Amino acid sequence: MSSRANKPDTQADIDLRNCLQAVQPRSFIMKAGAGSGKTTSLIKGLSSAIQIHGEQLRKLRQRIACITYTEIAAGEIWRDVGSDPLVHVSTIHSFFWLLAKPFQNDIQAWVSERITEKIEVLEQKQASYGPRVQQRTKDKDTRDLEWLRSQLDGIAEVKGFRYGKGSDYLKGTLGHDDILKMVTYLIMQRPLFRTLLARQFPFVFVDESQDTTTEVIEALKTVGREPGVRCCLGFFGDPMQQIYATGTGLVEAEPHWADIPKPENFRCSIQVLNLANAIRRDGDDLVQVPGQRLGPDGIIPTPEGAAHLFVLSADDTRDANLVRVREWMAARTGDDRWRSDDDDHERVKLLVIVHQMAAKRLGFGELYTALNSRAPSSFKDGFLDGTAWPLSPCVKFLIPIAIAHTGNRQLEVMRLIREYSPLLEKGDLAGVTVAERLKTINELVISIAEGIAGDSNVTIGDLLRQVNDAGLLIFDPRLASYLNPDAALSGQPAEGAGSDDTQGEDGSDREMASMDAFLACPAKQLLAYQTYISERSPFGTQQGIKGAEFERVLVVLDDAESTHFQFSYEKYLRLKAPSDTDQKHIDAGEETVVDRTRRLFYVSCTRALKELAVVLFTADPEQAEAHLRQLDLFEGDSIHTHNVFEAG
Amino acid sequence: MQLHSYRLRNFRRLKAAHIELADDISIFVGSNNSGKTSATQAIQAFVTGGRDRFSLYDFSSSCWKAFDEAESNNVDDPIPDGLLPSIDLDLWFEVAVPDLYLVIPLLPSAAWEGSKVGIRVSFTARSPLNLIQNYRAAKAKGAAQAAELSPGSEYVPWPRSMTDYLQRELKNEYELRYFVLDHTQFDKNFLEIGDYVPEELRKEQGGGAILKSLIHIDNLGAQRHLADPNPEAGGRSEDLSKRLSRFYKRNLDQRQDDHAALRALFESEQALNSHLDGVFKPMLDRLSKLGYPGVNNPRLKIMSALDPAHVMSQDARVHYQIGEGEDTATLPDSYNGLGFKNLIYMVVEILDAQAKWVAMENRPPLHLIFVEEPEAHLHAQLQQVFIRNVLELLNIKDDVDSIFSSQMVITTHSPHILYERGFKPIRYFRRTKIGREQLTEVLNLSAFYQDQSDDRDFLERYLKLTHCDLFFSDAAILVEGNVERLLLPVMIRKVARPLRSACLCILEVGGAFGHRFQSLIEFLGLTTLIITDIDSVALVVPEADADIDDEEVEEFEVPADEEEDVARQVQDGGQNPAAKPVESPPKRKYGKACLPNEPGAATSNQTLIKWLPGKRTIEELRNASETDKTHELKDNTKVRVAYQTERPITWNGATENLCGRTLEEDFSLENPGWSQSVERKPLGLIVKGEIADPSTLAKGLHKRVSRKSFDKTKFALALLTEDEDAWDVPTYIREGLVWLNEEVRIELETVIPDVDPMAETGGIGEADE
Repeated sequence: MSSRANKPDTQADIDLRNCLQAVQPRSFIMKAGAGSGKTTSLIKGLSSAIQIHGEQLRKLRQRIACITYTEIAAGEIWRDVGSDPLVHVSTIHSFFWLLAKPFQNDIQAWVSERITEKIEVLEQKQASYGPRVQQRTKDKDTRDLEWLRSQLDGIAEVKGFRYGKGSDYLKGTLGHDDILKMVTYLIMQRPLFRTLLARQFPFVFVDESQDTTTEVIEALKTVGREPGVRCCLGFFGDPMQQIYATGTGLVEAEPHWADIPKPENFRCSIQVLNLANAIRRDGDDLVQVPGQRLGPDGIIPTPEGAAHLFVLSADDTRDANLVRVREWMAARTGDDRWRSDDDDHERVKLLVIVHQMAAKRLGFGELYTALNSRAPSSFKDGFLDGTAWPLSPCVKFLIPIAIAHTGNRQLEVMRLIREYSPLLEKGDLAGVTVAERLKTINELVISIAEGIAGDSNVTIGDLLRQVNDAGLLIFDPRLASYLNPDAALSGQPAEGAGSDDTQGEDGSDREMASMDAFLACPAKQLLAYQTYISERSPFGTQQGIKGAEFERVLVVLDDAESTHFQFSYEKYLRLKAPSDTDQKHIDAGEETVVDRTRRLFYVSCTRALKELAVVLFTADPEQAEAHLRQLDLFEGDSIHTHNVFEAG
Repeated sequence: MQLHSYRLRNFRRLKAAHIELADDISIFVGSNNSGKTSATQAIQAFVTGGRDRFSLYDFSSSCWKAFDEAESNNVDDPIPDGLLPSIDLDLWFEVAVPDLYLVIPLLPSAAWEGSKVGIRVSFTARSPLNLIQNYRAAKAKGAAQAAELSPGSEYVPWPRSMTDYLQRELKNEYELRYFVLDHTQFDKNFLEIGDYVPEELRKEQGGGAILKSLIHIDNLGAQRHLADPNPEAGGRSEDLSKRLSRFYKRNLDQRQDDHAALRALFESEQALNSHLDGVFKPMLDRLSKLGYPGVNNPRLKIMSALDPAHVMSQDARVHYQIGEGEDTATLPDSYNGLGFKNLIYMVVEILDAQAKWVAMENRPPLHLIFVEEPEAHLHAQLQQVFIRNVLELLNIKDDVDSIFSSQMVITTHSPHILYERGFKPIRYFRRTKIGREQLTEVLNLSAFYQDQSDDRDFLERYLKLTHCDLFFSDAAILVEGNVERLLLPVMIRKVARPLRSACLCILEVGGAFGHRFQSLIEFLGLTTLIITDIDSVALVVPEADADIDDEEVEEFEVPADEEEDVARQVQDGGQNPAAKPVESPPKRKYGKACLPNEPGAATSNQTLIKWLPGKRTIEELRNASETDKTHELKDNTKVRVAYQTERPITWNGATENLCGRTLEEDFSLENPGWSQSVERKPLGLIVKGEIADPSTLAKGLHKRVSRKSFDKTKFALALLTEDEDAWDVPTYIREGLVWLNEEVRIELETVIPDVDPMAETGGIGEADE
């Protein structure tokens, strides 16, 4: 892959270089819409910084920090700057850990403080139990409290903390959340820490800044303001593409910062881009223009493309209607690949807000319901990417090992075991022969594979308990406490003890109900779920496709099937009035469901390289159609109802 | 960032020494065997060496006892802390806040504030418990094997003792450990407060690597032993051309394909040329003015193969270029003077070391260069040129305003080097003795410089002008004048022969200035004998307004009376009780020289009045006890004053208690018959006319010596030509020398030759100084 550093400069790239070239490099924000090649600009910025300041940085043992959203992106960006050791590309968590790791004493103090805080929260909760609190909840709280107190006692003995998958303080492991909270605390409270950061990393670039938390952005800005040192900050992002609720959205430029817009769009066809600008119009002032595309034979014209809206009835003909939409698009565009076939997932990308229809159709309806309807929001949010703590061991280990075993790929089985299981670690092998141990493991793997990929009725709970009892995996303490509720001290209380969602009497009840349902699901649903989230189905989730692009995109807007309360297309399209809560948010100038949905819609539509079809399922299509024509989103002749099929 | 200081514990005679370094250049001085070389070797052993670098002989002698005592620790008893001694090095870095990022692993906390960052390297037992068990096992095994031999032998198998065991097993039983030091837990002398225990750096953090990443050390050793069997390790006397070509070879051998290295070579060569041309131009110009044997106007020219690829087969050559333009001729370097060669050698070595440091991957911010005895073979002027210009060598052009810095430490025995830069860089290695143990304490003269604003400039100038060897001596003798200085060696030979083998510094200061040395002598804690004159005067009360222009009347100062001080403070109304007492200005007094036995006579000698014994009248001086005349400094070192004292003088059948006013008078009174005999006319002491009794003699002598025509130097030289067995040393000097002999003997007697072959390798050279 040729480096993106060599792509031609846009005005934004030139402006950025000027910022870096100044005697005192100037901090900046780069607002770059969908398809603008934001990451290309980031890479060019990094290359410029190396070119201008590299020698000095090397001499002073300083580096350039580049923060990305995922480890994969980090690897790609680093490769694009020639794997230069001057650039430290990593996720915010790895970066923060790098900064904090040398200060073990401060970490220990912070952890003690945090446990103490949790204890206080639980104690207060106990003191104010209402009459409706279940005995089960009370028992769990008592167990959790006991457990926390034992943690506090043991913490002084911990020699050395690490950054690991989930937090387990007594083992010296800090989780993702801990790292973010702790390091923002250190930055905000300790001038020395800020000075050290700025001196180690005089340049800090942040990719996807819109989805970086406000606390992290504020912490970095504080470093930039630290007197006596210089730290050039650069934020690359698009507030319109903020997907996560924790993201900060627009990073406000400080006085003296450069505000660099990048208006080009190198991805979408003209019709799709017109729609994107129309959506964006209500959000902010960035108007994107088609970027000049360079091919081997010179400039390639931007394709005209298409963007159609279908307003259809939200009834049981949804699936059939989707097929008709695709047929119609195929006929209209003359592109046969709009039609369904065996390689469907390579033909059309079907974008939905996660909905039960997909789950049911693909065969994991119960699993979906367990972790979505009335589940804590951390479960819902972590459902699609498999990061919710009940799911993560399944996604990372159990499902892949079942697939590998079924496919007779024993090397892959062993790789997974070596990577995740303690059973083959040296320390664990004392007193057991390797052959014996391998035999045990093999039996376990067979039973996992049968449970997941076979045709048995084993539940997820059965499987997880078996794995837990055999010690094949060390589970997140929160999960372990559900598998073995008697061993009070083996698990950690729900992370919810601190988060808003499960706080209060209701929260832990919800978690427990959700977990009960989850553990009772048939294990084979995991396989279907895996197929779904690994995007080998034509379905994609609107939240999960940031940065991706597809030739043909079909976006499904369907509030009725969605259990996500954060999003509502009907409210966004003003088919439905805002609720009282929404109105409160509007009045308070806070973010509303409309803002969130608009961004989701923008992200979904801008995935299309050429043609886009948007299908709105709503109760009264005729009325909706009339209304939608006034919104000036789609061209008038691109808005259709079911009549269009008859006409065709 | 700089190395502020370091503390050594249990390293040879540096049992507890704290050594502060200046930010540019520090000069280590001290008498022989005071631990200067150990101080430079220690830091190198800890930073770049490793545990293999240490031997049991590196432990201070008191540790040996501790080792053998540890042997008897009961097996079942818990091992007390510090049962087995360790050698510790505390390094303290001065780091500006913006540069703290370089030392993050050494910061105690993110909430920490300050600029002094410390790390301790400890050469310590891996596991005291295992060590003792291993020792016992070895001993039991040895005993069992010895028991199988035929009985009746005195043979004791290894290990006979814990020290015997460790002689062989130290490398296996001891290891280096690293600790982070929190400066807030240390007092101003860099000693731990209370029971503070520093935090150990975890193994995976790699204390040794951290240290190496911060500091790079080069050591330019003194001239090695002439019969050094290893030609590669040649000293400064070796062929300069060889040295230069090795400069290339050493680098080329390692990285022939490394163009960065080759370029660095090329550049360092150019740097060498331009440095020699630039920095040492004044020195070379000076040399041309001094003249060079046989050839006029010689100039230094380094001619070497500029193509680094050919350097390996082609020795670089140093030539002297003589003449300009077409008349240019060159002389090969074997025609160089030894001193010149030595100078160039050092410059090449320093630049070589520096070039290597600059080209280092992940270059440590700190470069510490030790130069041992740069004075070898350099004559005085070159020594001064060297020390004046050497700092310019350390400036690296591109490093302006950067995190990098070089610090240089020079050990020397040369007063020319020592005083050229004043007191501030001087670190004085003072030998002390506690019990039977020989120790060294390191004094920072910059502290003295700051505290003694009154006398320091005088002292700096005096020491520089006289090139005196105060800092290298075992004891100092402050004398009144030239006569004493000339005669002292003979007098020492006569009454205190053993003193001849001690290094004595004889300072000719006179009574009027002797007291100005008080602060320095006391700071250094140097055993000192002051030989001065009683300087008796009859007080004269000046008429009001009358100018005293009588040449014979002497003006001198005495401190204001204490009662007057009190009175002044009372006048202040006690408003300022906590403030230091307001010192009254000294009072002026006037007097005419008179004989010491004149009633009511005072002394005008400032040393006697202000320092020792601190008396004003001759009466008091006469009655001053041995205790009054002696002042103890620290750990048993003392200062004693000697001035003329009365003793029975017999002349013409009469005996009287008398003393002279000056050395000459007192000498004659000591040897009345001999000195008044006609053959002694050259001494110039013969009193003419009738001399009835000793007092008449004294009077006559006083008159004679006071005359303007009396030539003191002639007296001294004439005395030196006499048979030295024929005369006696004046009593006061004899007593003083005998006292000094006793003091120095106590100090020197227990010096054990350093058993470590690594220590003081330059010992032979040192002894020559």
